[in-house]
Amino acid sequence: MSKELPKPTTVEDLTEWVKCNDKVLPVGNRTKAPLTRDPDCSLVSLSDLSGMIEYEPSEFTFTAWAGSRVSEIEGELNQRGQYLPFDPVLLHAGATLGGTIASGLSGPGRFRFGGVRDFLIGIQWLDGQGRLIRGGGKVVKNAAGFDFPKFMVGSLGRYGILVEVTFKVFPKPMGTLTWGVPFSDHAAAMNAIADIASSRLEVDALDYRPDRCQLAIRLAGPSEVLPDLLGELRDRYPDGQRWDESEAHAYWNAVKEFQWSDFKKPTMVKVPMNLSSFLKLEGELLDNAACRVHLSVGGNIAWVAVDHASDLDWLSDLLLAQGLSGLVVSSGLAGSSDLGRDEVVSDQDGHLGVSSGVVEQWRIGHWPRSQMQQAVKAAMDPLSKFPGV
Amino acid sequence: MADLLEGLESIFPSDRLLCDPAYLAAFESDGLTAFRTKPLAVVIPETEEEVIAAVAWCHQNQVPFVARGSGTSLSGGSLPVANGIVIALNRLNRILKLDPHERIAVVQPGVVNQHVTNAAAPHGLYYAPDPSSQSICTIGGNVAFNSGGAHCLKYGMTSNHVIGCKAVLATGEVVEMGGPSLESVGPDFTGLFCGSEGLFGVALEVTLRLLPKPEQFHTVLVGYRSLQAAGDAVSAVIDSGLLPGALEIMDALSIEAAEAAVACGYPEGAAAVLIVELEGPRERLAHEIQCLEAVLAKTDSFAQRVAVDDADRLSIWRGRKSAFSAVGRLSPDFLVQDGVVPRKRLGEALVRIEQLAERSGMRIANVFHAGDGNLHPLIMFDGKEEGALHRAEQVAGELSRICIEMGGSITGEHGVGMEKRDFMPEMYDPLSMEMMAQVRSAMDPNWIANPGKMFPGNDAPALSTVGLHPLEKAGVISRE
Ligand SMILES: Cc1cc2nc3c(=O)[nH]c(=O)nc-3n(C[C@H](O)[C@H](O)[C@H](O)COP(=O)(O)OP(=O)(O)OC[C@H]3O[C@@H](n4cnc5c(N)ncnc54)[C@H](O)[C@@H]3O)c2cc1C
Repeated sequence: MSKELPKPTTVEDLTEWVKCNDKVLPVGNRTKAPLTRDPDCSLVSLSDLSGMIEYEPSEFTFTAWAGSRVSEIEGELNQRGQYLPFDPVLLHAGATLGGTIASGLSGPGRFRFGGVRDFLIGIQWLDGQGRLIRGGGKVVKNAAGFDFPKFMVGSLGRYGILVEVTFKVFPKPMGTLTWGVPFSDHAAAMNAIADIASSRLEVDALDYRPDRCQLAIRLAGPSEVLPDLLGELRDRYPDGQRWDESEAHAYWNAVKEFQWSDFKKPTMVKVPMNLSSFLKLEGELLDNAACRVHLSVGGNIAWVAVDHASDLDWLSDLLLAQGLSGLVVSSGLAGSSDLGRDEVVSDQDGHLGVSSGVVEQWRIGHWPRSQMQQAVKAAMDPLSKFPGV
Repeated sequence: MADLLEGLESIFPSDRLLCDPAYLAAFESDGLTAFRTKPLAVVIPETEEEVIAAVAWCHQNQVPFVARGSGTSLSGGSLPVANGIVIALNRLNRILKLDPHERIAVVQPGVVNQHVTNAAAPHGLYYAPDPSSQSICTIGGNVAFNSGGAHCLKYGMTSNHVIGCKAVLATGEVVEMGGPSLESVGPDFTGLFCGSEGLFGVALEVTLRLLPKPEQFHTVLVGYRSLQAAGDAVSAVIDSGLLPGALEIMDALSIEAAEAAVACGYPEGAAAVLIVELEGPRERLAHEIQCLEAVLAKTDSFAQRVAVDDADRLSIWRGRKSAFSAVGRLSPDFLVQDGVVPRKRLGEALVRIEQLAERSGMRIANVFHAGDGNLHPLIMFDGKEEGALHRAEQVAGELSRICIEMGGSITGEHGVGMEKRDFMPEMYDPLSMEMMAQVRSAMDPNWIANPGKMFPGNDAPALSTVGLHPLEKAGVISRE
C-alpha cells in the first residue's frame, strides 16, 4: 500500500502547509528519489500545482507552475515549433519543471545552447517562512538584481520551494540526424570530441559510450541541409554510420530516461566531468563489472551507473581522489509522488515522511564546504525549514 | 586618515598605493560621468595575494572598497566611495590557461574581453559575449555586471559563458565556485556571483567557455519608412522560426548621427534600419538565407543591402556600433537608458518614448537590441543648461517605469549600479528586495563591498556634467 503525499492545489494551501510543519522537503513526482529521502522532513508534492500560466511563443518565453510535468510543457511548446534545448531528463518518468531545476539536470542537448541554468530566467519561490519571493524576470534579457534563478539550479529543495518558473525557449530544429562512430580507444575518442566541438559544424549533441568505444554525433537543423553536413562527418570519420530514425531516437531517449545501462535497477550518478578527467578515471571506472558509464554533453557529464547502491562507497572514493563530485539522482526504485510502503512513516501528527531505513547517500565524492554556503543557507532559510547543506 | 592607511602601506609599495588627489582624479568616475567621488586611496595590486590582503584589510578596518576594471560601467557601478578605497585590477591581466581541447580559458579579472577572443582565435575559438566596449572592458567588470552585447538572443549574456570563479568575499574568505566542467552539482554559486555588481567581493580567477567561431556570417541591412514597420519585421523574423545571432534597430535620429560620424551609407530617408545577422555552417546558412529573404520580402521595406564580404559586414556594423558616440556629437551630453520590454510591446514602448520626448522637450535617439527587447534610448541634453541634467534623469526614470509597467526590466545589460538603484523597489516587491539584502549580508555582513550600489540609499555623490567617456572622446571605444 502506498500513502499519498500532501499535494496542495493552491499557493495558499502550500504556504499554510509550510507554516504548519517543522522540517519540510518539496518534491515533484519523485523521479529522482535519492534526493527526496530525508527522514527528518515532511514531504510535500508540488505535482498538483501544475500547468502553463503564460506562453508567448513570439517572446520565446513561457511561465508555468513548478509542478508541471516537463513532458506536458514540451508538448505545448512543440505545437508552436519551440522547445527547451537542454533536453530535460526523465521526461517520460514524470519529471516536473521544479524538480528539473532543483536537481540541476540537463540532457545531451545541453551541448549546443546550454543547460537548465541557461534557459531559466525567472522564478517565484516560497521560503521557509512562507513568504513568496521573486527572482529574475519574464523577459529574455534582464540584469537587475541577483540572479536567484541560476542559484536555484541544483539547490535540491534545500533553499526554498519553487512555485512558478519562467523559461526562455528556442525554435525547434526541423530535423536531426545521428552519425555513430566506433573508436579504437578512449583517448582517440576524446580527441575526436575536442575536434568536433571546435569545428564549424555546430553539432547539437556529442555523447560517448565507453563500453562500445562509440561516439554519437547528433546534427540538428533544417532537414534539407542535414545530409550535406553529414557528408563532412562521413569524410572525417568514414568508419561511422548513419543511424536510422528509430535507432537514433532509442539511443538519445535512453540517455535522457537513464535507461542506457544493462543493469535492471541501476543507481545513477551525475558527475561533472571534462575530457582530461575522464581519461584519468576511465581505467578504474570501466574495470569494475558493477559499473557502467555514459559520457554526455561533449564530455562534460559522466553518467555513472552502479548495479547496487553498495558500490557507491567505492565510487565516492574514486571521485574524491580526483577531486570530482557526484550527485546520486536515481536509485532504481520506481519514481512516484507517493511513498511506497517500505519507506513511509508518519509522525504523531500524521505528517508523512521517509523511514530512516531507506535513507541513502545522494552526495558522493568531493563536495567542498565553505562558510559562504552556510551563510547563504542561513540567510535564505533562517528557520532551517529545509534540510541542511 | 593617514594612520588608517598605514596598514595598506605594508601591503603595497608607494607607487601602487595612490593617495595624491591628482592621481585619484583619474578614478573619480566611470562611464556614467554624471557622478563623481574621490576615494580615500587607490590600490593597484599585481597579484591575487595582494587583492586578498587588501580585502582582508578592508574587512578588519571596516573600510569600504570598490573593485574596478576599466571603469566603463554606464550605471555608476565602479564609482568610488568617499570613505573607501578603490582596488584597481588592470594589472591582474594574465590569461592563466587557454585549453583549446576543453575549450576553456582561465583568466585574471583584469584581462580585457577582446584579448580572450584574440588568444582563442588561433584555435578557431572565440569568447562569445561582445559588449561594444570589448576592446577595453575587463572580464571582472563583465562578470560583475553580467554584461551583454549584440548576440545575446542566441548566445546569452556573460553568465552563460562563465563556468567557474575564484573570488575573495568581503569577509576575506576565498571561495571557489564551479570549475572546469560546463556542469556542476549543488546550487549554482557561479551563476549567483555573476551579475552581483561587485557587492559580494572581488573575482580573482574566472573560467570561461569558448565557442567555435561561426564559419560564415550573413548580414543584412534593411531600410523602413517607419519604426513600426521595422518592429513588425523583427516579429516576422522571430515568428519564422529563425534564430538570428543579432537583430538590431536604429531610428532616424541615430542613423543621422551615425551617418554624420562614420558615413555608414545607410539607406537615405529611412525612418529606421534593421540589421539581421545569421551565422553558422555554410550549408545551413544557405537555407536560412532563403527563409530570411522570403520573410523580409513580405515586410514593408524600401531598401536592402546584403554584406558581400567581411569588410562590407563590418561597414554595416560600424554604423550601428558608432551610434552612441555619434549621438554624442549631436548633443553636448546624453544619458543612455537600458530598459527591456517584452518584444511584442516594442512598438508601444517606442510610441511612449516619443511622447515622453515631446513632453519633456528633449531629443531621444533610439538604438536597440530588438531581438531581446533591450532598448537603449539616448536622452540628449546640454549639461551647461540649468537643470537639464536633472530633467534628463527624470526622463530616464520615466523610461525605467515604462519598462517595469510593461513587464520588462530596468536594465538588460548595463546593471543597476548607482544610476537605477532607486527603481529596484519598483521592479521587485519588498520581500524580494529583503531577500536580496539578506543574501548580500551573507556575503558581505558589513556592506563594505561596493556600498551604495544596487540597493536604494541616500548617499548620492556629487553630480557633474555628463558626456562621452574620456576613452570615447579619444576614439578608443564606442558604444552599442
Ligand atoms: C562605450 C561603451 C560601450 C558599452 N557597451 C556595452 C555593451 O554593449 N553591453 C554591455 O553590457 N555593456 C556595455 N558597456 C558597459 C560596460 O562596458 C560594461 O558594464 C563592462 O562590463 C564594464 O567593465 P569594466 O572593466 O569597465 O568594469 P568597471 O566599470 O570597472 O566595473 C564595473 C563593475 O564591476 C565591478 N568589478 C570590476 N571588476 C571586478 C572584479 N574583479 N570582481 C568583482 N567586481 C568587479 C565594479 O565594482 C563595478 O561594479 C559599455 C560601456 C561603454 C563606455
